[in-house]
Amino acid sequence: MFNNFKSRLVIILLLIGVACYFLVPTYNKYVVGSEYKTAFNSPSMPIPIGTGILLKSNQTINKECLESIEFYSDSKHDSIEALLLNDSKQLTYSWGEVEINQNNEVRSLGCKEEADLCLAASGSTLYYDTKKEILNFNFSHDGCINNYRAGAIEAYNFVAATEENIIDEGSIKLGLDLQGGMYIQLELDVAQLVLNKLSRSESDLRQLVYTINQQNIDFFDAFSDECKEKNIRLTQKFPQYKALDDNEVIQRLKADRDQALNSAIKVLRNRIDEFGVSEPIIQKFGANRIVVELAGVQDKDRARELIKRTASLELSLVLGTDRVNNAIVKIDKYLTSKNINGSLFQSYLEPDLYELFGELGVTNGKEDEFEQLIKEIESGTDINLDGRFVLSNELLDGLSFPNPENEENSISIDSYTPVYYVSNKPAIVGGMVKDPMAKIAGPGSENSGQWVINLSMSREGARKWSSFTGRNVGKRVAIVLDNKVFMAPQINSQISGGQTQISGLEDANEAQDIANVLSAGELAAPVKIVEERSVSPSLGKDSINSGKNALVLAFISVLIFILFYYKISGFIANISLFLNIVFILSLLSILGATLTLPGIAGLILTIGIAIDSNVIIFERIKEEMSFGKNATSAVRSAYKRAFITIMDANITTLIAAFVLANIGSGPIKGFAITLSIGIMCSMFTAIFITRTFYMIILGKKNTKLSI
Amino acid sequence: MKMKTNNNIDFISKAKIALFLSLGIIILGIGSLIVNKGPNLSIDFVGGTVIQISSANNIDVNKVRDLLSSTILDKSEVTEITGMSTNQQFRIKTNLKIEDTTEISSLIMQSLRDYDPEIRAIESVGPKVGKELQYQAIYAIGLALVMLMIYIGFRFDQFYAMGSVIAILHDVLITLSIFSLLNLEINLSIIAAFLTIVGYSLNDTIVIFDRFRENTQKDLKLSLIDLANLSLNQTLARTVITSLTTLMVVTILFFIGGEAIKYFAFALIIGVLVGTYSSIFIASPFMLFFKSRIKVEEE
Repeated sequence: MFNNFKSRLVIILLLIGVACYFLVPTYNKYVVGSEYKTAFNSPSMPIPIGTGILLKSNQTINKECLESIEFYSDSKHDSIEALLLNDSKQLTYSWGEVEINQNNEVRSLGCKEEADLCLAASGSTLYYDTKKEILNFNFSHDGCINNYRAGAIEAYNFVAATEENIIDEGSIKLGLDLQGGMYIQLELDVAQLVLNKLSRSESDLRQLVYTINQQNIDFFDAFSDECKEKNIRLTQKFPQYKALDDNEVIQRLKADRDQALNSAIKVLRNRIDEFGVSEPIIQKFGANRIVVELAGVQDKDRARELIKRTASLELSLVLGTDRVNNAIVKIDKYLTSKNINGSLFQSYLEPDLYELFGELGVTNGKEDEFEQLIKEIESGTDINLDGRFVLSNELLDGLSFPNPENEENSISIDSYTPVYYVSNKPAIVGGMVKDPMAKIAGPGSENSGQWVINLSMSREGARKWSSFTGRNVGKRVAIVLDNKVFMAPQINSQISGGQTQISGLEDANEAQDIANVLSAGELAAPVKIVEERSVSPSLGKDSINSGKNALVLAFISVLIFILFYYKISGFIANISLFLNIVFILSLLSILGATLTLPGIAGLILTIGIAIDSNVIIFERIKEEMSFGKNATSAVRSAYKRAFITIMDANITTLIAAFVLANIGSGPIKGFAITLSIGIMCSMFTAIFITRTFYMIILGKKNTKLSI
Repeated sequence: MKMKTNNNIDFISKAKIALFLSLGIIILGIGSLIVNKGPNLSIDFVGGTVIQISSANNIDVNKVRDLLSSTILDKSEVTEITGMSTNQQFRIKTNLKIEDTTEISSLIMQSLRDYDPEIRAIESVGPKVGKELQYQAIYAIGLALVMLMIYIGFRFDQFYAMGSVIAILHDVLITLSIFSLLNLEINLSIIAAFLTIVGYSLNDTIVIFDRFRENTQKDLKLSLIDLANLSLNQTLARTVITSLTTLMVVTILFFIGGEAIKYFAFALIIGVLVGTYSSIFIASPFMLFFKSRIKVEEE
């Protein structure tokens, strides 16, 4: 087949054409770049007057690049050009001078008086200052190479997104290790899911669930086995399923887990969309895991905390002192009888605080231990408590004051975290609230100037809230979010209409993130992070540079070596090596593959290995010629003989690469993929393309072969 | 520059010396594994958190240790790493739990606040995932070995397969031994390197086996040992040149490929050297050994 070199040449040229065609998007993305636009999206919340926005880019923001900014409103009705204010007027903006304060924040100075919006740029930071309330905004700019991939943008009071308004399809993507970003693997707390389905009175079974979960094994297998062994009838323990046998219960529980996982993915997607990361990847991984990949995210701590939140909200009554006393006595009796932990419940609580003020508090540093103890008590004991102990989200400073009984000694209390004993029957749960909105409390209100979250309630919620507050005037209600008390205000009067407010928030980020998770919805079960890998954009950039340098240097070294050793034949091999790289990159583009640093390593290794096929052929040609054959017949028999050797030898490396592609995380996969593609391409270039060149060279008879 | 194509080196007779040399390294390696209580596994396999930071200000690695020791990070290992960046870079390995990642990073930032730190990378693996990755790595190496053996058994015969598997095991053991002797960490990418070494070494071995098979079919009236020596000599030039080009690229990768893949490249350097050596001195002699021994017994 293809004995005619002309038909071979046509095929080769055709393939090169196709390869180049598919490389165009990649070339545009990484070399040209200027066609791409960047857009920053604001989340759907108004930006209060005077707060301003700080956008940080990981690339230098160039003033000239931003002159083409266009603002869009992103209102629910339609998209109208130009930024809209409350009164629907267009906002004018101007450039101002820049000041950098001690915290490295850039502020604008010298804003023109007539401008409603002031922009200032310095280095990678763009600052906005508004004099009017902005509802929504969404700006884009184009035509500026410096900003075409602005990466993560961090805002002063929220995070705005960069959205590459480009056709990303068909180009090679950079892995998280090269562009910077975060890879998080989450595991759904299956045990908690099961506990939620179990009645609180099933203390033995609850304890069993708790212990099985402590061991690192497949939960359902172990649970099912243990129950069989202990002769526990699951059909009776989970009557809500009305199942015929225990296996069906397990199946139903598993189905609930799958549902919880799917809904968790949806909830996480909503949260992350609000967080503003371009093209987040959120997908199922195994039976109870979720993988989240966030490219270019800057504030990793914030992203991590946002993802981890369960967003379970409860408004529950804080129970009075007599009930607390009762509970403590019960718990301590239990602890003494079982001799758990060795120390009594009371020993965790600050005695002076309790005695003098009737308040509960855990000394700073003992919180984790305390929470562990509460969890253990809650998950399975026969103590019948009417409430549960919940820690506050904030640590209070220690106090010191004179002893009222003995004025010479002062009483001092170390810094502590307040603890509340709240009712087991929440008045309001997360599903009953709606439209959470983070904002700075207006002047005149109790929390004036602080960040708060306003909540309104569904009709059912509002009715319950009204009757609850009416019944409990004078008592305290705890706002419990993710099992932490955010605040426990006193109910002063009946609240009708269903409005409420959460205060006690640390900063703007926390307020916005909590409003975000509340509106995105509650997770059916908590998730925990089991693996995290993150790389900063600067390290990514360094990796790209070192990878690029290594690739170029490796390529040139091999080219020189082969040219030196094999002369004209070496030149042929070098052309095929170059085409090999073109084909590999093109195939990676077609597959939309992700290039990682190990992927670049795979490419480099391919350069070393790809030349092997040519070496096998060339050495064979030399050998055949040493038997006295002329060039043409030596080449012919060498290719024939070498073909099988090359196939056998390369298939082994391919097998190893295929195995690799199926294990490990992204980067390793990237290595395996580029290596396999490289090997396959090299077989083609080394056998087919070099042969064609020989056909051309050896077209005339008695040509001497330079090898 | 020309390599002599008509060499006549008696490789097979030197196999015994090679075997002793290899066994020596492997015994040393196993000895060090016993002393070190197993291989030095990275957080990928045992769980933990590694944070890589950089500082624009000049700071001594001991100073970093001092500053961190006042916090809960006192049990962490701090090492300085050299990279392309002009900023100083450090690697902080802690065995704190994955739940505390936010706390760890804020503690680091706080402890080093006078030195303008930047967190460059965080890797955190929970114990459960670590165990899974351990299992996956062992499974992958096992699966690759079995598949390769089947392939060679199918394409050649069982004697070739046995010879090549011994060579592969030899390569992985030697690389593992060298890693253990130098006390280098084994992470996921090193496992990837092991598998690449396996593929590469086999590639080398097969080229030689292929020539041996071809020669046995030629009726050259030579003993098996002479046939093996002939095949090794005939393929020697190819073996040397391919090893040189591959060694060249992995060495470049080692020196300028960046911190993240430095040890991956190092494993490949060892692998290329050991793989080339084993395909000559281990794979062929063992193949001959099995062939002559078992063939004789059958007769």
